[in-house]
Amino acid sequence: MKKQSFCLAAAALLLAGSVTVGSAIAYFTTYATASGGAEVELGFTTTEPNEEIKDGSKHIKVENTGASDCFVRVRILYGDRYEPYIRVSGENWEEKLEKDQYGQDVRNFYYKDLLPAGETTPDELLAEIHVKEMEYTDDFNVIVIQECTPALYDENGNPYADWNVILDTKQDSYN
Amino acid sequence: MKNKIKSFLLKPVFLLSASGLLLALSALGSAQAALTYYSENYQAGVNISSIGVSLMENGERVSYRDYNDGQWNEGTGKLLQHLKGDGKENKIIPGKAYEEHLSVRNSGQIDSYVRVILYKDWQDPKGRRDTSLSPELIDLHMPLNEGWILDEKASTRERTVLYYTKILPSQADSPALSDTLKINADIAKKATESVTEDEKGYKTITTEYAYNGYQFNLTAEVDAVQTHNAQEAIKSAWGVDVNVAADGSISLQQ
Repeated sequence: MKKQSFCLAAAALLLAGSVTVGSAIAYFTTYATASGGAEVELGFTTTEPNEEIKDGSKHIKVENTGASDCFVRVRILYGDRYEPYIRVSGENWEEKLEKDQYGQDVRNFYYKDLLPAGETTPDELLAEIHVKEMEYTDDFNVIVIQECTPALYDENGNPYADWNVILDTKQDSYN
Repeated sequence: MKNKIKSFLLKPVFLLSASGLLLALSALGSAQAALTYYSENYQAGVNISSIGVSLMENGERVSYRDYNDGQWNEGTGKLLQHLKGDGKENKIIPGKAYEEHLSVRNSGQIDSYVRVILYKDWQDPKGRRDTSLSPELIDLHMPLNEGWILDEKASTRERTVLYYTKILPSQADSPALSDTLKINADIAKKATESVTEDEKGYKTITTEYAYNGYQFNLTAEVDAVQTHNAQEAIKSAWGVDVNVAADGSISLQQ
């Protein structure tokens, strides 16, 4: 008897409960999703100086032989006594008097524009050597050193050079 | 004997009556519920045929899911395809800002409320998820104006939950929730050094970018819900409590 009444009551509750289910699922929704990604391009680039000697002067260009865009600068070394006879200039090249790592004064020539991967500076840096004006007859060297630094980008996506950037090689993470 | 039979029958009759009463009451309840249920169904008959939402990227429809002519029409595209240049794999240069206008289009025939959930993560060159690199370096710039708000409680470093507080009318586009995408340039300042020594004892120190070849992923999910009975609908669909103003705009309950 108890079992019978329990079944009846349960059936009634089930009926009553089932009625409320329908209204709970009657909201209209939809969705759409999409994913995507990209590889971070980080690459040390390499550059090579292209020197051509014409009329006793050095015509210097720099080629970006790497896979990343960069900025370049050139330093020309020679003995102090030849200073009056060597003049360096070039369109789009900016001369800056700076200190090297030993505190010595050096003259660096910075190419103003970004040098894209695989391209050569369209404007040459000319080192004019006025041999005929020299009062010395011994041999001397004019050494060209070129350096590059990877292009960095500002908030607006404009490229710039940071010649003082120091890479962090500590073993931690950016967590 | 007669009393015994009477007593014997009294209990089941009473219980049966109680069950009958319960059934009747439940039937009454179901009648009310059925009225609501069918009423909503009737509205659904008008409305469900045209609810829809699309994820937009720089003005182009990427993914969508619309209910038309009794069936769901849907398509899923890929984000960030504009980063692909010259047929190469997608590449991104740290620090450089790329245009990334994400927005939502109501591609249905009924007004709706929408929200967007963004997920960001990193994978190493072998395709393994790397949680040591912060998702915050993936800088999707979100001005959060013109109706978009951030659900700070539901957001984490990897997940960002945004609600569009206004009703998005049918066939209308929301304002863009983002404008640029940039990988923080600090990622290019992290390097690893390895030292090798040859037979003569000469050491070679090689420096490499620590995160060269890493890939970031961005996933966007757009959810839409009906505006009718908004508070309950949003609670049911998204699990959040909102306040609905007289003009239909919503705000998250604290």
